Amino acid sequence: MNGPEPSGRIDLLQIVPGLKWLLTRRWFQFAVVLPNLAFFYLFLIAGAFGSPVGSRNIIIIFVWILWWFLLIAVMVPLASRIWCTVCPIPFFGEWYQRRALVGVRVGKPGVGRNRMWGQNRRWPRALSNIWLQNFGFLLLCTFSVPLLTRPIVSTIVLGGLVLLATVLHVIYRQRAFCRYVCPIGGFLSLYSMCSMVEVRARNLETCDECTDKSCLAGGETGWGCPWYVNPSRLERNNYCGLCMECLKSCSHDNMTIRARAFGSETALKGYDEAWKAFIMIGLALAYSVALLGPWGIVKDWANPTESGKWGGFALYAVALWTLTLAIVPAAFYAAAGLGRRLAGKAGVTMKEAFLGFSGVLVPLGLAAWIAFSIPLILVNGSYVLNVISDPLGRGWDLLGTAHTPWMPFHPEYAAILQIAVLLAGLFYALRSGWRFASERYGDRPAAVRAVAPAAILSTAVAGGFLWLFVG
Amino acid sequence: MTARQYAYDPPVLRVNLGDTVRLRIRSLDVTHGFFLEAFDINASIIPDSPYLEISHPSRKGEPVEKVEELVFVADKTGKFRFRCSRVCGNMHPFMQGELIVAPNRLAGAGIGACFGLLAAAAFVALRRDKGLP
Repeated sequence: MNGPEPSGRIDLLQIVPGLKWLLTRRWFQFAVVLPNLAFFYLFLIAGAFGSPVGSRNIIIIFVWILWWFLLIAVMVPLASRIWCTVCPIPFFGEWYQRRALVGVRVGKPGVGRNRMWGQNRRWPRALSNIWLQNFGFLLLCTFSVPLLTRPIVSTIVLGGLVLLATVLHVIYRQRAFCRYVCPIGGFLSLYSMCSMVEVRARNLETCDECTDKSCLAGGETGWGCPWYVNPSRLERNNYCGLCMECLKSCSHDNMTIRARAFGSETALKGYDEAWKAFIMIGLALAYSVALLGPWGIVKDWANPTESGKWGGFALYAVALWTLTLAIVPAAFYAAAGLGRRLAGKAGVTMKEAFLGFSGVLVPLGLAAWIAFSIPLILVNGSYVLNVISDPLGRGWDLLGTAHTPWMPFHPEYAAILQIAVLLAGLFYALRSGWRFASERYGDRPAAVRAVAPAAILSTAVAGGFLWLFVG
Repeated sequence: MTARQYAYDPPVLRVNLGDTVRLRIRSLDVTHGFFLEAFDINASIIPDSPYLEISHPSRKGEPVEKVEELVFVADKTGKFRFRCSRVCGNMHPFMQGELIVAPNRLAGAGIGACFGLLAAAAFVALRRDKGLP
């Protein structure tokens, strides 16, 4: 049944002993979500009732320093949307829909062959994109300083996401929240394209001949894909939440998880995805200036609830939105247009060129975020020791580490690591641009002329980040 | 130099390799720190006090020293962050300034490597049959 592996792919279910057994257990996802759920609610409680000082409260240190670093620097590059596998936010909503934590229900009413509760409405077609995630994430990030530094704000926002997810699960079928609303899911979808794992069908012919389509419609062994994708036709990682249901539901044992090279996909399919890339690179730049930079006036503007400088905040917000929604897109539009003109070849539309060359921001943006996050964890990581002993900042010393002095962990290596990460991101960005150009423009000189402006722009972006970090 | 929630003024100090740096720092609001790991300096800046309480993180157990002026020799080049080491408020983890000791070769090398990578990519794309992988 299994055809040859596609070039550069390794079937992890075949080579990792026990992995297939583990991932196809019905209890697997519940077992990995449950501890995460317990910690998540501990953090929410700590945010609500613990110390208002961020560095003394576990929600700030664990969520915005430890979790963030692990997410962007480890989970996404290595394991795609593995966070979505263990995410506690949709837990109650999904339970409401399924009325099951482990088992599968078959019957009507429901979705596909699965019996499901709730209104099971279809998500509006007009919102079937990631624009909501784009604007939601940008809005949250506009208020990033209160969110990242005030425990109560973190609790309100994360608790609000749980509430919103639950309400949307009651109204809409399956994981509408995760797919179209979750602000975290938006950038995970973008950067998971670079990831080194993928869930795919082993043999497309088997899928062609399959009549029950249980990966899509569900069955007695698994729920139909809750992410509104057809697992048998997956070509990109963006919208696969790694829930592993298709591994369980496929009646032909034809779904698998493969390892692959980093940066295997960068093709953006629509303006919503392109703007996600622009927003993310713009935010990485803004955070690098406002949070990691030395300029007090910018910190004051970004922190209006404490500084009282609401006029400065308005300026900061307008600058942030203009940068991410207009200036960065305009720069890439101009680069794509110039490249198209230089290549002098008909047949590639402006939209194709714009989306194609905007794809360079997938690896470059991920690299910029990792570079931004490196000093965060090296410098502030030692707070983890304090808050695991005193999660609410109330003077406890549960593990004897509450009074460990703050000590940066080899921050002298941060600059070297940032340079290495940004150079790697630039390499993959140039490769992405070249792949698009060589595929669409055919002859080499035309492809080089087409990619040149986007390549120069990417290099300038990487150089700009390097100047901020080490210049 | 002054320290306040959550910045130093001036935010960036530029010196040359071999310069002796002398800093008098006062706090405009609460107690702050001045942690310059690259030069093994950790100072507490106490409001209304003319003194800095300095210690050296690598020399554990040494008594804290009270000085009016923080003095060190800029004997290595690059961009170094000094950070607040005393929890001073919500944005404390992001309170930092920069000491740039010229010539900053690492920055030059990093930014140069970016353009070198671009040039190498262009060379490979133009010269080799299959271009970039």
